[in-house]
Amino acid sequence: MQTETKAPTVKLEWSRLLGFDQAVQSRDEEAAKRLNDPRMIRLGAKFGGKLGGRRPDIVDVPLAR
Amino acid sequence: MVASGQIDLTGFDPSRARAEAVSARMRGRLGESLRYIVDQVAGHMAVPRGEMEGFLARLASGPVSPLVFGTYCDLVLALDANALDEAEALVKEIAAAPNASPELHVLDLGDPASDPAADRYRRLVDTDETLPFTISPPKPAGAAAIRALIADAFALMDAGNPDLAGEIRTLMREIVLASGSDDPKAVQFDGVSSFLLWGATVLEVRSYKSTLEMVQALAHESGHNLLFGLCADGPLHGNDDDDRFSSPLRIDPRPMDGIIHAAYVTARMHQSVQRLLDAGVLGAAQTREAQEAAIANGKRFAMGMQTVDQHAKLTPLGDAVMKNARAYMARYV
Repeated sequence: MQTETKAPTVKLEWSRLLGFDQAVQSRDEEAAKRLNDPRMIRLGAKFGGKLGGRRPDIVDVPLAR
Repeated sequence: MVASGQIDLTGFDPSRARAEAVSARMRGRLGESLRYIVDQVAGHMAVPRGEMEGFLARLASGPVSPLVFGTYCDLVLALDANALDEAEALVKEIAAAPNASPELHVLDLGDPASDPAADRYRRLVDTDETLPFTISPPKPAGAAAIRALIADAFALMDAGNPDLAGEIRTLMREIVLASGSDDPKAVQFDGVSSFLLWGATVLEVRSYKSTLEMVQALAHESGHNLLFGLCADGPLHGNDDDDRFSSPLRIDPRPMDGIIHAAYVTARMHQSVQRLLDAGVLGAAQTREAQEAAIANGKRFAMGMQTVDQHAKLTPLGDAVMKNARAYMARYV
């Protein structure tokens, strides 16, 4: 995406936009305009993990009762 | 948004009617958002208003590709970045989008280097700067094996859990088959869903080996999409997105949004296998696999709810959603 440094010509109220209405609660309002912008946490990817899967950071819950 | 007509949208049990209501609400909110954007950009760029009105009518009448939600997100970010030429092209792209097929479509990821749709999928699932990763087209043999597992999973659900099968077919428009990196040091994934691609999920073709694993994967990923859809009118919680908490599914601390999602989809995975057990449609080996999965998912749910109970600032919507999940799981944990 092309990014310019000046303020947006078209200033949208994110509170009126599907999904983005949840992206305005971060403390970092001046964060870079990127998809991994901290404001985008609730819109971003949710990883699915399974036991024994390909994600080493997925917690493997012991099956013992 | 706790109820739509006579349907309790926060109920835990799967339902095609609930999925249809959630889909209609998501499409309605997308239409409202696009109308607002079109009004705001007037005078700053050329907008094909006739074509956009046609698109909004199609949007109101039925589902559209998950990529339309992605294009909308790219549009908002382009305007925020003052990239007006890009925004104008994205408006035209949205205005030209057709309705999606009513059938759930399973497709192989194209080459992101040459296929714009594949590149949008690649970008919009790579949104966590602490876990950057990439997706690539799957190998044909792996994709064929996963297609067979998906077909088997739906056949099993149709036999023993038809409500879940119907809900998934209604919520989800595309299952995208892909592979992660071959580099063992790279971030890997099993499945990934995003608000930015509502109605889609991307599955790693090397991750799933059994029909019951696929049943759980579909319950899990459609669960994320269901929660995204329930949030069309507001959030599940009021926690600060910068704060981190322990997760039932991850070693690293995660935002509360991820904890709530993880706990919820774990309960959904539990129910997906428990209903098959209750329906008596599993053979001996699958029964053992389902019983083990139910126990593991029950433990993960309990771990997640400990964090939710201690730290989540649930909204009335989030409270209703999680209370209903807990009420279901109370019979098992």
